[in-house]
Amino acid sequence: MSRLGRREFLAAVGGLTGLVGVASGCGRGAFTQVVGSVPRDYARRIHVVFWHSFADPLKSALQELIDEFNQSQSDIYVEGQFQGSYEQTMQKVAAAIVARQIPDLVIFSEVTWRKMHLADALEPLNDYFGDGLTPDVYIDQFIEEGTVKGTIWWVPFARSTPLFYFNRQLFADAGLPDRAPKSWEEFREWAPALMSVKGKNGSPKALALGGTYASWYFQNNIWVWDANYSEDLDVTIGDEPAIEAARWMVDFVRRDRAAYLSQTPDVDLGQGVAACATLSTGSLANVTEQAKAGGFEVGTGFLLEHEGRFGCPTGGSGLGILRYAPPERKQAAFEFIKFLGQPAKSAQWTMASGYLPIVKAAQQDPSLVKLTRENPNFSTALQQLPKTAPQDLVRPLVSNAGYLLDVGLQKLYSSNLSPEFVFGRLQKQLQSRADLIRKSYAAHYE
Amino acid sequence: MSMIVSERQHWVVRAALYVALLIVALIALVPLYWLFTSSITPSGEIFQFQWFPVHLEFNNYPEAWAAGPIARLYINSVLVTVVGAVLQISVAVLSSYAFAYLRFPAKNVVFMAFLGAMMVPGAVVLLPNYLTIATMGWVNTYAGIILPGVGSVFAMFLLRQHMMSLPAEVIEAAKVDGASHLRILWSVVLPMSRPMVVTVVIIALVEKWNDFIWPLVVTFTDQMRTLPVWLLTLKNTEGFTNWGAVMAATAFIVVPPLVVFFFAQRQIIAGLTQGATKG
Repeated sequence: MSRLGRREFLAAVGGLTGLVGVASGCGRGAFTQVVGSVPRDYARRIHVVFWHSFADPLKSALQELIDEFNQSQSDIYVEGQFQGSYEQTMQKVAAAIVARQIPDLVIFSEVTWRKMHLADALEPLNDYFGDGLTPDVYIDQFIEEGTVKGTIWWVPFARSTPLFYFNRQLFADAGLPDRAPKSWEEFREWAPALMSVKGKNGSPKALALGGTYASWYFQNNIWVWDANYSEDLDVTIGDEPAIEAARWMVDFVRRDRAAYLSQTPDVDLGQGVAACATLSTGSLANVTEQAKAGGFEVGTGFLLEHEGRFGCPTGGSGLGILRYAPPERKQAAFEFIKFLGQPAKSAQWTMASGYLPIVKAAQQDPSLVKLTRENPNFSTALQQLPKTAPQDLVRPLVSNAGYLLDVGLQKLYSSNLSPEFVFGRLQKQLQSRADLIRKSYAAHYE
Repeated sequence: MSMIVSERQHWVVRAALYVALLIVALIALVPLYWLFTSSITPSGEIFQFQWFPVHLEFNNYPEAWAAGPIARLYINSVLVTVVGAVLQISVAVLSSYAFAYLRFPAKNVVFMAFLGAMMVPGAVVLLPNYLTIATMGWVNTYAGIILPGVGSVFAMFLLRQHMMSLPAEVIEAAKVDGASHLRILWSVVLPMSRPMVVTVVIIALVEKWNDFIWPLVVTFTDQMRTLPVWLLTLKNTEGFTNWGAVMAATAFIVVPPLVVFFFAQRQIIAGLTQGATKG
């Protein structure tokens, strides 16, 4: 073989690289299903790929439900694949759609599903409901939250709400009644007594404010001060009532020194560093375990009121079917949704996870009733449920709105910035981002 | 250390150096100690501040082991790390030799372009890489995990700088003797570059063992994931996290590199300090 001269060699290599580049650009076309693995016994069934965001131990509980479904019928095989947090799962779905290799059924949080809906990636579900499952079996505010202009896009699954947790031992030591405070004003009256208790780790602060998802918890303050983050897409966080709510909390942090920003409010509560914290209903198991190790009992209560007003947002996640799959896979995915919507199955998931039941009849399920009686903290979330409402739209709809709100609140809790300044800046930032999606919003929501 | 702390130095200097050594050792070792003691503490007590756990909970390890197909994950991690590192070093060695000793048109421009590519943040190339891999059909395969990481401009740059500092007479002598480029590379340049090659190998191995973002993005099923990605599956964003099992799982991930380094430390130190002693 004759030796290639240097120039010829380089030319050949350059040509090859160009060819590969062109070849990789081709291959656009139909949507295929993302890779998965099907056990041999189930090889003849319709294969549904289900992307979810539940890590262990929830993953095992979910896998139990999936296995029960697979064994209960012989047409469909559901394969559950864990993809990370809610946000990571959504990023993977976005990448999957661009690469045209998609899953069929996906867990979307109350924030990420709306983005998928605006991107026209979800399948409208009205026609799938029928004899096996009708929308009214679901708890009303959950199914309404997934409904836009009469079309259902998002079915509830793992819903949660914030809850007020408190350290019963510290309350008793402070001479306070064995219940959560009813209002923010009452809490402020009780705070000095709490902070004068001599605990194992020194005197506790009254309230640990979480940095992550701070805006979800603060939705309660916003609403009870008769304000909103936004009305539809019109951002109203710069209005006076919202600033009032922030001012009250800022005084609670800076003047009363009763509240503070915490990286891990559940740990602080478990350590006795803070007497109270607002956390998700999903954190009940963790907090109870840490409280036991810390030698005290944890109590729960509704979120706090102000001037007689109550406000509590919903959160957590639900299920959506991607539009691009072939019809038989979409129908198969809905069969699994029907299975999860059975009262016994909803109760089973609730007991294993701490998320709220999603169908009305599940609340009468005997095992769930028994658990509620044994664990009164668990029933608090259930009793608060009828008073909850979906969040103001700017947080789920506008890109990075939740993150910007969280950062703004963290600054308020930990620095000397004024609420007018922070909320005024948030007003501008959020409104400019909201305006970017106005057209899409109008096309979908109005 | 014996070179720095010699008999001839003042005892104060020696004491200060030993104190510095102790501080650095503590900073490096205390987190590891905390990790291992936490992994045998019951979950509820992990956040209690205690130097040694009051209650021992060895069940964390079986729980972590049961939480996933660990044997398969270990195989995946080892395969991805070893194959990836071997490929990365080969590519880096060959390309650095080319930049150091070969002539070709626009060599400097190409080199500058490569350096510019080093400045691009990893997150920017995540989606283009994913699209390329998806189009090739390599999503959720070993090829998909390993191949995008094979080209390391950093490794190539380090090796090239080192090769350019080698004495030109030796290379000339080898050329006069009629050696081809590959022969020169294998018999002359590489043995003289051992410290740098060892450095690059260590960096590549550690980087690939701990690589998290890319395997997370490109794998869908637990069977194909690597250990750091699986660690993520033990942490819930909203809800119950079994911290004891998370600590035990972290121990699973941390122990192999520690063991490898422990047994290979003589080679590593010999490689890094080759030519450092005088005379």
